[in-house]
Amino acid sequence: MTTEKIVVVGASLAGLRAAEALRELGFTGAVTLIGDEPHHPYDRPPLSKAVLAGRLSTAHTQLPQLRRLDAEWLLGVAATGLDLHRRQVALADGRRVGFDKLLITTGTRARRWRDPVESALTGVHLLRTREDAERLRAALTARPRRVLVVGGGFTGSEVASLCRDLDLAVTLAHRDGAPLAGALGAAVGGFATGLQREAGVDLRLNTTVERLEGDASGRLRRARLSDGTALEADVAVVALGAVGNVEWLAGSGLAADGRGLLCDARCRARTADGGVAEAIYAAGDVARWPHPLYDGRLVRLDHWGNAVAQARVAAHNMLHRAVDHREHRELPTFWSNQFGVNLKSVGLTAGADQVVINQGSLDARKFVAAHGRRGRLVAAVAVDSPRVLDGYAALIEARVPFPPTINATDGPAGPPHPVPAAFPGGHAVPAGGHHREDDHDHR
Amino acid sequence: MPANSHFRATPKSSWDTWSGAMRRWRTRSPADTLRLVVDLNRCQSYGQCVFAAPAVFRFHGAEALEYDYAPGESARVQVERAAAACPVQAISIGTPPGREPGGPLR
Ligand SMILES: Cc1cc2nc3c(=O)[nH]c(=O)nc-3n(C[C@H](O)[C@H](O)[C@H](O)COP(=O)(O)OP(=O)(O)OC[C@H]3O[C@@H](n4cnc5c(N)ncnc54)[C@H](O)[C@@H]3O)c2cc1C
Ligand code: SF4
Repeated sequence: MTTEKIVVVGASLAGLRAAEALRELGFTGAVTLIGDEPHHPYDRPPLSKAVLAGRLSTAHTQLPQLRRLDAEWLLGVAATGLDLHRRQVALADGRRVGFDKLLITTGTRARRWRDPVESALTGVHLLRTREDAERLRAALTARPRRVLVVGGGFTGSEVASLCRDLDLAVTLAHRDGAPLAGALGAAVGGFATGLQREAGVDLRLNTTVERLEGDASGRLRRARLSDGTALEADVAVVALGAVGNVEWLAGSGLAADGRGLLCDARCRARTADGGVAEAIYAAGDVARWPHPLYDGRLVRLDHWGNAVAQARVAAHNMLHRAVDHREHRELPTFWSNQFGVNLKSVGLTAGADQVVINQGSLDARKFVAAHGRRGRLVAAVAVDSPRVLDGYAALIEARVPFPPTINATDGPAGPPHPVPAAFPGGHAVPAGGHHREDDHDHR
Repeated sequence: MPANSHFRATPKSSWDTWSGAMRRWRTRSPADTLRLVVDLNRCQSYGQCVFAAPAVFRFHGAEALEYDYAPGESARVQVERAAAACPVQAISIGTPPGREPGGPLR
């Protein structure tokens, strides 16, 4: 079948980069991008950083289009259904858009606070979109007496960092023993704990928020924590991870649930009956797939670099016969900036069973934590050491033994002393064969 | 004031001046067709871009690069210089999405 029309649902980072790749690869047919946000693609990472800090306005986060697209943009309208048989996407305004091939890049959204009434209180915020960031920025500018951050993943930690920069009192409640520990393990988590406390964050570990309470006018007033505290707070930021935007796929026959849309390593969507939907592809935050470099463990990587890389692979495969398909096997990478330090990582830290500080030191706030799994190097996290990760990436690809030997001047003096990586919830990874659930849901 | 005086005027350490410069650009630029993005996984915080275009790129903290995605047409020369100077080619320049390069607003 010839491909004349490609539809991309989800007009953000992955969708834009995929559309560009289609043109770069010579596709001359029609391209339609459908997005439910009223904006052309913008970048989310600055929302929890420069935008929240007031250093950049949301209008100044628009992403560049990097080549001629000649695409049709349908913005401000959501896809509400998919008919695989007729090859049509249904839109919220009743239109139906036909396609030969479909790319799904609908991403994720911030998980809401579980109680809808509490969630609707004035002062309770999420952070995913431009509008979220503008609202939260306005709330912080009004100088609340205390901000409660619910969840100590990347977004929660970045927000807490921002609050301290703005000299606002902030409490962060996190269910694990250390912030970021779910993504980076206990060693780096312990370091993050130190950073937060030193910056003046009231950090409550192994603590969950039980209730958010408002006053008669519907304004947030206080929160009840599992440690028994009633905390006075007028702003709460719910940062409890992300949920796949897959509701519109209900009844389509694709294998989608809140964890995302299941794909194979070639970015082809899987069907609920265990097959592959030939003309349907996915990329970015919404996709969950067996990562070839990690024994086919199912991962969902809510990271910028993954959206860009996976979009390219999906575009390539959409335009090629199955024998010429590529696997999306790029090493995961991400960065975060918080509490004055730059964090970068390469590889999959989750699933690691050992960690060693391979360069620098925690005290110097400049180090590389190498992560091992079953005697092999699988990931590295670099704190204020942005220049070393390419080297580690090469070692991870080469599957070198753990702990790795690095001829660096700031390497360990004696033999390295790996310690258990101690990921919350255990780190036992079943040997080969079946998939372990591991949706890197740490935003 | 000469159009590009803020490049010289912006001290490396002052965020206030930076956002001030951005505000001036915003109101000034007639054809706003410049957009840029930095791949911050690739970026190694060398800072050449900060030297080339100090009103567009900034370090916040020792290694955390921040930048304006839409600094306005008058920054183009500096941004192109920054992209060329970046040792890891982390800076990409394009147009506002939905507006074709050189073409009309669709
Ligand atoms: C606050 C914040 C900070 C971040 N910081 C970092 C960071 O420091 N480093 C890093 O690596 N990553 C970071 N990320 C993650 C990064 O932004 C994401 O990985 C990236 O946005 C993924 O792009 P995407 O296109 O796959 O998904 P998204 O950007 O989520 O785009 C999906 C788009 O599809 C739209 N959509 C959803 N459903 C429908 C529908 N039914 N019909 C039409 N359109 C629909 C959505 O509204 C959205 O516009 C951050 C994310 C956030 C929210
Ligand atoms: S010149 Fe390139 S590597 Fe250096 S800080 Fe700028 S973007 Fe990063």
